Amino acid sequence: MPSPSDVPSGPVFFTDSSPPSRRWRRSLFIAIVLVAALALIAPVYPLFGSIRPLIFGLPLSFAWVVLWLAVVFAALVWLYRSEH
Amino acid sequence: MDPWLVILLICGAYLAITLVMGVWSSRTVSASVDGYVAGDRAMNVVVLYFVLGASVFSSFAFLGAPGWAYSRGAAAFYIIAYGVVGMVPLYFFGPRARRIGERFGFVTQAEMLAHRFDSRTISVVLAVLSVAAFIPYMTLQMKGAGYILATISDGRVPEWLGALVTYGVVLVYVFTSGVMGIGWTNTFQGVFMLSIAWFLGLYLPSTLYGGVGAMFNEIAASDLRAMLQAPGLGADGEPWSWAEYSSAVVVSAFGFSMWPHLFMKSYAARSERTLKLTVVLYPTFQLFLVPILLIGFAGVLAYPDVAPADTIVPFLLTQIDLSPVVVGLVCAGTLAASMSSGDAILHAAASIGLRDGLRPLLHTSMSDRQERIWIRTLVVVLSIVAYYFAVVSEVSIVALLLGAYGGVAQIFPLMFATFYWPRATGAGALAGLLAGIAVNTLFLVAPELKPVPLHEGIYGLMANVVMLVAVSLSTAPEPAERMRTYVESGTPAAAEAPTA
Repeated sequence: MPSPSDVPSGPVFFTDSSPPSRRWRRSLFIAIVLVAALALIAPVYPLFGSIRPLIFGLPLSFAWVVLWLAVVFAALVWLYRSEH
Repeated sequence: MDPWLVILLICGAYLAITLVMGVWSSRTVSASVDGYVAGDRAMNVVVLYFVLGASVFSSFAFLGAPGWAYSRGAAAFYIIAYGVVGMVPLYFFGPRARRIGERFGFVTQAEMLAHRFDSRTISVVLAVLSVAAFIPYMTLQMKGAGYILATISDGRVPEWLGALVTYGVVLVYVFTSGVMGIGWTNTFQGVFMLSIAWFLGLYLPSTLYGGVGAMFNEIAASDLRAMLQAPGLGADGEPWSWAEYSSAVVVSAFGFSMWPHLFMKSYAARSERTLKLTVVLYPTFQLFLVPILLIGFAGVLAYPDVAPADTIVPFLLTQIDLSPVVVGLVCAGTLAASMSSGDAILHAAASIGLRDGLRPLLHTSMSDRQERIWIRTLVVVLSIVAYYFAVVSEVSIVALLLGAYGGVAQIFPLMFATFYWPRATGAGALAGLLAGIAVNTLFLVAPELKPVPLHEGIYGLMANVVMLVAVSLSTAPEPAERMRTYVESGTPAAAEAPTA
């Protein structure tokens, strides 16, 4: 923050000491999660909400949700490993 | 020996083992509030993983979710959807909260928020909100337990008795051991629940239809095919609306990480790394919702007209041709699901009620020992209140929880502002919280007033954010030094600087 007596009026997601690599990684991760969130509700999910095709025996409406569970899981693993 | 007797004996044995493990674990933590509430901050990944997973999966997952799959089809997928994104905030909030909690000695969510916003009122409001949301959550767990034992014993064990015995056990081990009691029993219960879910979820479609794909093909070919089309069916049997489905996902996603009993586990983690790893691994636990829902779907064509839908799982157990020993184990697993949430909720409700509600309200300081006595008293009192509602009220499991989610979701804007918006002030936070709760409650009890049919939590969040921003910007900023602590809590060095 600019000076000890100054409170910025906007959001502060990263401190000055935060390296650029951490910033872009975390920003990318959040972007992925937001994409996942949007994919799981209207208006995107309706496009993939049909019964067919069956994927591994599950209706598309079911498999689509599981797919995004896998995507967010992968993103979490990636973020965690890059930070530890 | 009659099958139902075998089943009950196994459940009884399970309860006895849990009781012994829970009480015995009281020997492993310090006799202090830190020990009772936060497990001396030393829970390792394995225990924390199962505590989180087992706490989250409850009668809602084992009875309510398959009940929805059975009666509403694809509508049940909202449960997986919100879990996918709902845990993510904890990856970011958790380590920060843990660091700050360690530094200032916080063990609850409200303590931190009260400090951040310099407001005892916020603490009390959060305590009331938390306890208000926890009671129906406990009630539905107790009902679930009573229901399981009643259904599998063909009514020989009445619901009130099943709930009483099960939660009597929970009461005893939470009373004696606090959170460490939860840790050990949850590890045991978590393993149990996972195994049973996967086993039944694959066994049932296989025996009834010849496989998962075959099962869905049959449903798709039947009159009920509409239920497989997203977003499934509404409570009336007609296709559910996308607005309601989407808003249920959104509100639950915001509320998920804000449940005080989950959030406060951040303080119990051994390290930041442990906490993050637990969040990262959580989806693996969540994956078990897939077989759970398959159980519900398995009942659709084979056993139509089971009512209420929440009983489909114990009902199916009475129909399939399995050894009573296996059925007994499955019932024990379902009890495990109920108990492992009930214990965490009960424990959190009592701790929060005392530390965040009663103590600031009474404006008095207490010794560690006095606090523990109070918490234990609350454990007993809240159990009785929740049990009363479990026996007396007629409620639907999922509806109860969805309603409660609207409330806890209102904490999210405050939590976000705590770390990422230093300009947020105490007045703004309080205004936002109260507005959110008020609007949410209004539309919960009078849904006909909603402009558009969305989950009431969305309206609450809108009012919440508007008030939080508007009032914060209209009031003087909080002191920069304290804001610095929170803004910089994401990195070790800065947070340990020797300033207030």
